Amino acid sequence: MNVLLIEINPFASATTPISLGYIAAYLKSNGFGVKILAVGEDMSLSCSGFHELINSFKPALVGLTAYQRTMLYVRGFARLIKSIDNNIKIIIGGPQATFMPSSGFAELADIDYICRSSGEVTVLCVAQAIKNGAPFSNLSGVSYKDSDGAVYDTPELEGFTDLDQYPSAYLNDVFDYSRMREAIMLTSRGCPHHCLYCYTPLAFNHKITFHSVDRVIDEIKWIRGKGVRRLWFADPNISFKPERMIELLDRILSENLELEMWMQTRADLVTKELMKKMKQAGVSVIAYGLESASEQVLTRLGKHLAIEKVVQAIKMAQQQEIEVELFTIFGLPYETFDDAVKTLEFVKKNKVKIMGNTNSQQMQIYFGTHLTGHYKDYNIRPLNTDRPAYISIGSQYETEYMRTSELHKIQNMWRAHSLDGGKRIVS
Amino acid sequence: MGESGSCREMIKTAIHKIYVILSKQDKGDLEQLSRTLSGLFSYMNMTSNLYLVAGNLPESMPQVERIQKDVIKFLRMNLFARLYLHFVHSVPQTTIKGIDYYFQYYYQCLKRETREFDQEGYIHQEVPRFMLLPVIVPDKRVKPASLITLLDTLKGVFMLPCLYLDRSVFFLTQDEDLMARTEKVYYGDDNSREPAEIACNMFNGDLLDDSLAMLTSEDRFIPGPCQASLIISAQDGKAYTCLDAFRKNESLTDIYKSNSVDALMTLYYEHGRSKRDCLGCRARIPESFADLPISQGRKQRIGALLCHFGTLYHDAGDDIQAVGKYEQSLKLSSVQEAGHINFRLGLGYTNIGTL
Repeated sequence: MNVLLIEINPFASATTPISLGYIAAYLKSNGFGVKILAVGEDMSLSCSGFHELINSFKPALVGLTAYQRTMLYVRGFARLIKSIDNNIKIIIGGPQATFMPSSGFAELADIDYICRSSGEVTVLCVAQAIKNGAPFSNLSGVSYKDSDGAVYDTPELEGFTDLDQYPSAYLNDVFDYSRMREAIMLTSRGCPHHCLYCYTPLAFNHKITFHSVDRVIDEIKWIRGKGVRRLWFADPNISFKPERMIELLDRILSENLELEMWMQTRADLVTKELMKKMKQAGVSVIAYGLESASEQVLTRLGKHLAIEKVVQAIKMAQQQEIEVELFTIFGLPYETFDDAVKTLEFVKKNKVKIMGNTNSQQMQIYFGTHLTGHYKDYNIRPLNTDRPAYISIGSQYETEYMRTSELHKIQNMWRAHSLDGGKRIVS
Repeated sequence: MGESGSCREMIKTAIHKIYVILSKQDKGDLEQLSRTLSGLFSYMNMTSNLYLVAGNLPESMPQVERIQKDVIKFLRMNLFARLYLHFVHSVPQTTIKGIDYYFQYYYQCLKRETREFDQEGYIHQEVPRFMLLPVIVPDKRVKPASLITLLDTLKGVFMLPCLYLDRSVFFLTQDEDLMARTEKVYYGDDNSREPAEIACNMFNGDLLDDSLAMLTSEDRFIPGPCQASLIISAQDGKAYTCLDAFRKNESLTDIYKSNSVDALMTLYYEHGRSKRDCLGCRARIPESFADLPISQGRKQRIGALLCHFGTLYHDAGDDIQAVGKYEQSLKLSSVQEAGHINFRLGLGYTNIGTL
């Protein structure tokens, strides 16, 4: 039985769909045929071409990664797939799906399942049910719809806490390297913190799990063998365990892997020694989450990070000539316009180039964040109450202190200072 | 263990751009043009561009409206598709009153039909899937202030205005306020306002942008075919695979004689782009931009591109062509670049025996 996994981002070049890669590798190791379709702005794909793909590959199950901004496209692909073969089952997963309310799922006519638990084990469970001829029996980790459109939730499905138990997307050769210029690595998952605007902590039950250093090194060697030397580490806090990080960097150096790496971590998880080692190992860019440079805002976000720590972390990186990126957000709870300006001034003062990921963006209130369930407690007022239930508040809100006009004003101020027109890489 | 892999090798190239050169047509021809385009939408890329190049808008309005309706119908049925509709036309008016007339009677009328996509984009917090981009060919007597008023009004209703400037209106590039309001400027290197010439010059501009982007992003940019395109002449129904084919009058088919879009696309995939001189086409274009009123930075990037083409010709053993490219490159490049271009130029002269 074949499974097709699709990631859509029509607004940027397609990147390595690492999460789908893990699912593909897991399905493949369980005997399923899998293909990944990463649709970016540089991908050439027509309705007719997609039709041919479905007819030749004949998947029994199609999985689509869902983000808020790609929901239209997810719906569009789902409708097209069903129009080609109504027997093909469709599952959506990813940030928009995990915590999507059942009312939202009910509005998505062509979607059969929503993945609510760890992607690898959940999609395998669904694939096996389809293969066994009982697509809605003995399921876990999903919500599904019956033929009348009624939504049913199934029990949560636990993923592995030792990430090495998941087959590697790289070592199992599920990606196309012909156009890959940068490989995305995921050496750990989850985040133990409680930032109230973030989806990750809740999605991983405030836990963080890791791959072994040996596994990461094996993957890097494989990737190098394919001619790719640029790596983008998608771990939210790659240096959460400092000794593991040092070991990883030492191994990269001792194995002479010659990499160019992008990493992100918390500003309070770096030291001078670590930064020096990062530089030696080939880290060219490090990104920290600042969010706000206003003490009175930052202390109320649940981030528990002192601004002074960020200043020190920036200096440590700059002393090693590692490029710094700062993730910042405006439109935060309790944030006034002056607070928002303070963040912009902080970035300028600390000589961080305003481009790429340092381009600020308005806070997005997505499903799964603490704010989605409690926005009223923070005097946040949604602007569009008529939106479909599968769309979250997103950026369509005002706060007690910032009206739409002020949100636009601060956005324009960032754009005016941007060196690249304000296009962020990670959204 | 199951099989896995990428899908790229299983998917045929999609058409990214279609240029339709409009002309006076009888109703039967418009029906056939509409049918062909409607069929072609299924072969177009998820995000694609449709250029309707008209002489003047009042004459071409029935065609533009009809084609817009076809696009809307396709987009309603296919939620994953995005289309940018560029309609190119002269604006003979020179006064604010005259321009306002254009807005009321033409642009508003076209815009009204697309509001559902603005609403859909708003609800989904995304850029609308259907965007109208009027490309205005201004009258040479026009005052920048009048155009600024029009451009502001168009932006106010989410239409992204572009300008097509031939030599007679290059003076408009001096107006910074006007340029700041323009989504994109296309240039004509002559004074022709014939739709066919305009379409060619727009194609050239897009191809140059494509080459410059590849030069920036690829370690070793080997010029291949341009983005998959079709040029259709509404006058005689001829369809061409690219600018090279159009210039040489080597059409794929006549859409007024053949009803089958599938047959057209079979021809496109089988024959269309295999015999074209893609390096020649890409290398010819930068020279025509050398004396246009573009920024110094852009001229220098074009200089770098010409130097790159020179190297490719040299590598292919054609030092006569290479020398020509290096000479052009030298005129456009910065002083810092002159050293290595001169070195290559000297090498080229030596190889062809003129030193």
